[in-house]
Amino acid sequence: MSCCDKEKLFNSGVLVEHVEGAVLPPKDKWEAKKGGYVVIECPKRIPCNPCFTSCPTGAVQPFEDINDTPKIDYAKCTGCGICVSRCPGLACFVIDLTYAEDKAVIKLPYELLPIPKKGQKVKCLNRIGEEVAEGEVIAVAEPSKDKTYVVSVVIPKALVDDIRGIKVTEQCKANVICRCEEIEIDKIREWIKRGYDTFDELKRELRVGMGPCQGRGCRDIIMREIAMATGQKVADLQPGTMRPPVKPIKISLLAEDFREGEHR
Amino acid sequence: MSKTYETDLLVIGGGAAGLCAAAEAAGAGAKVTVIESDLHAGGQLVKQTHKFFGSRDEYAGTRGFKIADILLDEIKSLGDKVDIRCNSMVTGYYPEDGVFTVMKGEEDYYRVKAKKTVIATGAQEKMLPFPNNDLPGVYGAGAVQTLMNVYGVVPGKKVVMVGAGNIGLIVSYQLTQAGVKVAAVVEAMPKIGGYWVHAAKIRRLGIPILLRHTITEAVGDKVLEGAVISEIDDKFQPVGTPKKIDCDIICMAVGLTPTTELFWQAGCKMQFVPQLCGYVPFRDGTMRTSNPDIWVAGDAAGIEEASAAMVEGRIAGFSAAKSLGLALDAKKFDEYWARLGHLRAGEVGEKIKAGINQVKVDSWEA
Repeated sequence: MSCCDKEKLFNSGVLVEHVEGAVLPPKDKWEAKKGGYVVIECPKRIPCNPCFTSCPTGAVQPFEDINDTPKIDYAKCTGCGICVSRCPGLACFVIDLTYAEDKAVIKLPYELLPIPKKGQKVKCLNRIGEEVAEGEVIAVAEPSKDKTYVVSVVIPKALVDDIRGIKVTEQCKANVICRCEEIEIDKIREWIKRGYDTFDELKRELRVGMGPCQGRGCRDIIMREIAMATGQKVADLQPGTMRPPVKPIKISLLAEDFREGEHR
Repeated sequence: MSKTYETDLLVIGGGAAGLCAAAEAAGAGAKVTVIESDLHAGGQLVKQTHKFFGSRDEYAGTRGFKIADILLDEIKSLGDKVDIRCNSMVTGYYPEDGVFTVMKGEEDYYRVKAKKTVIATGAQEKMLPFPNNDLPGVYGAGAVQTLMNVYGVVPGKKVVMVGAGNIGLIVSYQLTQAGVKVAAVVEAMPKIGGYWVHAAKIRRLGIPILLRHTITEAVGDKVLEGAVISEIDDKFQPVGTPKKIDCDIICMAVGLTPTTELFWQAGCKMQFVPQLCGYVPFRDGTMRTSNPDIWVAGDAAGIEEASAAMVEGRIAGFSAAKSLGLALDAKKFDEYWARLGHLRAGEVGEKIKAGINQVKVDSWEA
């Protein structure tokens, strides 16, 4: 690539070589580091510092000037991926080279639909969106609970400096049991298997039955699942406590009612 | 007798700057009236689904629409100090009576007399001249964001984005999130105007950014069917063979210009400043204009990021409250200027500072 083409690419938002603010971790330490290191691709000075303020271990060095490009103390980076979810520019990644002989894991930020699932195969994209490999999703988290997902994908180790995105081609078919809280059957089965085999326990853990319908949509199915998993009859199971109110009600209405009661 | 409503501080515009000005002044004890033309307060913040830059003080890492909620909560916590009047448009300023006129909806029309006023009217979008630019399907980026992010309506299936400033880049990303295909982003300059990381995140989704390209024509009979784009030379003249891209949306994100009619009507000293994207009022170190009862904040003072608009709003609100005779902690004022200084220390900030230097006065003392 000529230097002119390189400049043109960089000017349109494509990293063409590692420069200050966008460097790879030191190779020798990186290869042995379980959990991986952060890779931040933020080569321009802009007024922004959530990578530093969100880092729980102090690995992203303090900014003297909020416009500084990020500097990393790799001795402190645990590869937790909090910055991946917090960076407004989606410029933080974590790459773990210890996954297997020829495979690495990249944790990348993801804000599109559909959200991939654990075990799903996805297309891996380079910095200009070309599909360069197939990867397998091994974890999906939403660390800050703010709709920025952190997806961990197993990728060919040879492509760790190329892959920076994924494309989710096939949509996983959802099998939603609790529509109010969007809980799918897999999750319910998983928790029953972990020993939460009464409706009330599942309700406390997953919020099934705590939404607008108060269990009218999910209770029967969940009871059947518990029965199947534990080899009991539905008739012998506890149906769970049916507490009032049977419909969600504004707390202000209850408070008002309570106050009126005091006056009586 | 026509209706005249009186208030201590009038804030015109309930966006990022106006809400901060109102919160700051009300926090100091002022009675504030905010006039907002939209159906809800928050301005452009309510359309911003991406996370903001800046530091914690400017809510970095928080999505824009959530920042609007935070500001409105702050105002709500001040009790009845702030009266926000939505669906109300300030239609003019009449210096002979010192009154602003307000139209609520299309039915109610009244006058407002304020001791002090902060004008935070924000900005308006620029457009480009090209044949067929009146076809349904040619949108401003603000309209696309309103449709998608406020009302949940996708504007179409495939878009050509014109402009690679922050708005063009961010809206391209939001369109992709909404399932709309972005065929290309065309940008007349030899490099993107927005933040590099915003460009990187759409590049890795496979969206081409065509530098030194522009739109030359929209194609279609009754509705938009395509966009003709062309490479341009360094004098912005088309070179090479034009190319047609099929699309049902052309989204224009070619910049903003400050909305300043009321400053002109109030006799504020104005100047055209290219770095601030249009005519802006002169201001002193408290954001006061040459009219001693009027302050400016936000994009109306020059096009900049929302983070800066919020701090400017605080400065203007603080200063207006102080001139009402309220006691304020001067340390806070200095801290706001320090924050603005940090926000303007980057590459983009250099341009902003060069612009501001042309319209900044030390004081208005005659």
